[in-house]
Amino acid sequence: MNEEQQGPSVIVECQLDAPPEQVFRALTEPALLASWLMPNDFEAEVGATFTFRPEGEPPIHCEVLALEPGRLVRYSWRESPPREAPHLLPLDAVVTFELTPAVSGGTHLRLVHSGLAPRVGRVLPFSARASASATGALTYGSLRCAA
Amino acid sequence: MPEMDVFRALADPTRRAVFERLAHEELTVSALGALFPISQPAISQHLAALRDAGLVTTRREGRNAYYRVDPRGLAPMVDWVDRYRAFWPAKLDKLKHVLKGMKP
Repeated sequence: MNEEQQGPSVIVECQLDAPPEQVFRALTEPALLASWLMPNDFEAEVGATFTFRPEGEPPIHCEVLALEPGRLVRYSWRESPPREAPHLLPLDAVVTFELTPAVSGGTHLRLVHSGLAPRVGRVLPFSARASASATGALTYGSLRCAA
Repeated sequence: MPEMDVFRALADPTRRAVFERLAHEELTVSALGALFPISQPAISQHLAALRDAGLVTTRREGRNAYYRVDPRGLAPMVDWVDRYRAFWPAKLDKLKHVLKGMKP
């Protein structure tokens, strides 16, 4: 998994009214993180795997790729494709939070969610695809293996 | 190539042109060959890439293979970007509230 992936990204920048160290805590302490993002079992260690559990949606599986206290948090973001796009492979994206101290004493946050290109498995014969979506039995894992 | 993302499949200008042509009508390889100044094998290669990306489908009729756009291939392309373009600002608003409630 590359860190700066090509393809479509979403970039959001904003000013936060708290110093970088405090923002870093809100990004890395599971309870604080849950209070603004999603329920999770985040572990502040590079290489640690954790899961976001959005309500009523499939879990998002992550791995901590980089951590620099008060400066940077980066994790991978693997998510099942939406139900209406059963021919897609799971999304393999990367989320990066970059914190810079602002003159005001606050923090400039730059969030990059990269690698948002949908990936498609080798297209199955139409009948196979139809039966796969009808039974829901065919997983994306086996789609990838079949490719 | 086991998989190819839609984005990469359409990054090549010729391939994109072939795809756009097929969005208008269903065509055979030879019909496409007459429309583009490239060899038939090259056309076939582009079609294979588009098919691998789920962007076109084939239908056989006698000795001919007809290619057309698979609308499901392109539909989800904007999906993730759209979703997260709305998702993150809403979440960051929540983060601002959480920061306010935290002891510095």
